[in-house]
Amino acid sequence: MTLILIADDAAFMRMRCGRMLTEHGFEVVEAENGREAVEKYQALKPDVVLLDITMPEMDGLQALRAIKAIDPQARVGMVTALGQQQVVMEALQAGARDFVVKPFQPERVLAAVEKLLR
Amino acid sequence: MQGQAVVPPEVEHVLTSPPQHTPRAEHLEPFLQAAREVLELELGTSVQRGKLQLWQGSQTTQDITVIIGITGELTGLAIYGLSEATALAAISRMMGTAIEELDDLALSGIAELGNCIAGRATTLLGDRGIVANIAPPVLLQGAGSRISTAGIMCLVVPLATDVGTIEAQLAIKGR
Repeated sequence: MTLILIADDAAFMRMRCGRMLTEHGFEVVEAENGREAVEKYQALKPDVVLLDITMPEMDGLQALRAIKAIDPQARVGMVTALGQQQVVMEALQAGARDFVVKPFQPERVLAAVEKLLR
Repeated sequence: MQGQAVVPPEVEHVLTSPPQHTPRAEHLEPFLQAAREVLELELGTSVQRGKLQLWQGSQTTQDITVIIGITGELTGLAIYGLSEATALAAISRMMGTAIEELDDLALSGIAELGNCIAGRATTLLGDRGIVANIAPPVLLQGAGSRISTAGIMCLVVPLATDVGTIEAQLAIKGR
């Protein structure tokens, strides 16, 4: 089964994304911050990572760089309330392959996961 | 709420010639537009903006208060206050089912609402050439606590929605 790692400090967002992806047949694992996301990536090697940016301990951009350092082929998408052009560019330059801005329609996250898996 | 309210004509005067630590209208508008967009999408509600007021002194929390730090070329706080009844009605819409208790998951959803509004506001500010960032939201539960805005005056705007009124408070200053 395809494993998706969702990293977001908001339990509500993890629940919302997790429920939607589970309903579409994906297996989901959660992380509450960037540090935990990096640890879980290293341990579980998920097929796709969805990273929030504004998180305590380690933010999503730092986690993105750490995950790409572990695995340059890691398939990572950002799911964040921050949509400034410079943030989007920074994430894409660091190796993110998609960028979803909150709030979003559920189908947008599903489309991002499917794009990352292609 | 503590402090002295300034009537709208004086607010207008202050906004047209702001002293150093008064939020400016050009900074307020992106936050109001963001609130309208996010609340319409997440809650499916129209948003009616109430009378703008300017407050000085510490703020007092409502039943639920979401506080988000703003950093960058703007610094300060975006504060969103709402009653427990409004919070329950809002999270019920967000979860698509009737919620009768504000547990940790429900409170996380309310905090995320504030996070999305502030995040969208920073995007709109970026479109105007103002670079700002946000810190993770802090949620206070329980009315009556005082929040100091460290000398920054606070613009207060009630946002009337189908689920009740959300009071947006903005205490920010530009560099």
